[in-house]
Amino acid sequence: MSQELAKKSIGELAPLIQSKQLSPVELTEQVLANVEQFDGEINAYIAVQKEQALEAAAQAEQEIQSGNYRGALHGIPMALKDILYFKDEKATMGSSIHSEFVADFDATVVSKLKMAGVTFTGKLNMHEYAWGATTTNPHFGPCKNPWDLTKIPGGSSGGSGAAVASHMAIASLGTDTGGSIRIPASSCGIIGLKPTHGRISKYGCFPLAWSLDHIGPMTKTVYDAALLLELLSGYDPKDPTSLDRPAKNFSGLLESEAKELVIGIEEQYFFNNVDSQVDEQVRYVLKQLEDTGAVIKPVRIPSLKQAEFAELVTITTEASAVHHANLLKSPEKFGEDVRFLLEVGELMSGVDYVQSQQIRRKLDVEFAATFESVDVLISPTLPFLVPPIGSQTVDINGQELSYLDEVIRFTGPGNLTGLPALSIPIGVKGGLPVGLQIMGPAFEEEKVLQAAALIESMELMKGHAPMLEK
Amino acid sequence: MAFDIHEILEKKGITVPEHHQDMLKAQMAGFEELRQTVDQDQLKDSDMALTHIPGGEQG
Repeated sequence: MSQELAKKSIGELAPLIQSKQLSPVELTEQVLANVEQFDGEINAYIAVQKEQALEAAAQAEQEIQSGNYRGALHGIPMALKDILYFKDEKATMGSSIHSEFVADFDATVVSKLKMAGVTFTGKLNMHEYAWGATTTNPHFGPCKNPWDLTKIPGGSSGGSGAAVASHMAIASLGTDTGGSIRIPASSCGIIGLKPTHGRISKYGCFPLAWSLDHIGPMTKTVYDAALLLELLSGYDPKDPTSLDRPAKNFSGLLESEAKELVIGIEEQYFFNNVDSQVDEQVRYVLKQLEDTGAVIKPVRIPSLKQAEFAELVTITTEASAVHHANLLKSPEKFGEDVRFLLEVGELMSGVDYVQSQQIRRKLDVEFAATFESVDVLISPTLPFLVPPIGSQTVDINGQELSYLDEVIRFTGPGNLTGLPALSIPIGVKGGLPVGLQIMGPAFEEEKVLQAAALIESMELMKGHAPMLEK
Repeated sequence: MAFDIHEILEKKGITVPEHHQDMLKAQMAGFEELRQTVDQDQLKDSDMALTHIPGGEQG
């Protein structure tokens, strides 16, 4: 049965709900019907909250009928990664250790979505503790890619990517420490936005690595990502990394012209050793942008060559500090891969960590200088097409390389610098979506969103849909 | 000084499965290669992107 309403974006659904042409209950029923139909195979959900969602949808409907429309998110069904706290509800973090953990407060982002009238349909699958990028979860089962059920959906927010791509949620939130929003967005053919570090509060989000963690929207359209960003932005004294910068009307700032856009290309790092099909598709988009007036400018960011070292040291060290007590007490309760990475983090030295933070400072300075002459940087999101479930390696032009090493190569610098970065789908190769990454200057997410909106207007995904839709 | 990965972890009280030992050695060998990308001379003049803010306020 085709659930046409569930295929729509927030931008399409909100006016229908506001004008009372669409019932939030009907919309939620369609989303839940998709969950019923597809999730047995895809396994994007850790928990489905059917009754709760229908009750919330009925309440939203009643409010709207009474003239109390709260805004564009009112009555929209969303499901979030199971790492964000809901008061008096379980938050498993995709783990066995926290399988019965019940939060006693709402995460700030959850609180904001509740205030906006969102209907929550459940909690989404993820890589255990967000420490990995496959979402092959040993405790809740592997999440599968809706475009090809033999392939991973990326991760760690793989459930969010798979749920939005298969219309089992209208939108979602993910978390991103080395690329965990952008990797599944690229793998599943949706939009994933990691905002500037400090822009969205992380209060009530279980940490992976404090200095690298971000929360951000995973959506069907650029407009939806902008809408969620403007809702979720804002200073929060409960999050020590939150920064006091005014939220912007991002959804009203999307229009721009290609001729106003200067795009930086860092060939040496961001186009090094990329799958030829991915490389070809990204360069095709760049050519299209150039043909419509954008300026393409080669840039050099020398410290990027040290970025992989800094990312590996920072993420493993901070994650091992988070989980140190449990690694001592009950190591067997971690999945095999997470336990291994936690052991790796225990081997890093204090000097490694401090030098990594020095490298981050160098990167901050070099990226800031780069953004004085370009509006955005464009690169592939991933250097490969996603591998089969269970594979530890990826094929890049005939070379078999470590998935873990390759997967955060292009996304990691966004976490090290905290700069905003977005992945947008730009076509399909070998039956799988290809993602393009756009990075921008700190707290200027509108530049990233504007470039994304220009690319979205090329309609490169037209006629393509996950296999479950055919 | 040569170091034994297993010994370091055991001293911290971490039980390492036997089949992790070779994997850890391989991972740390790869890490040593990454360490070679670090420009030590350049870092001598670098600040670090980590500061303690008295009072804890960043806003």
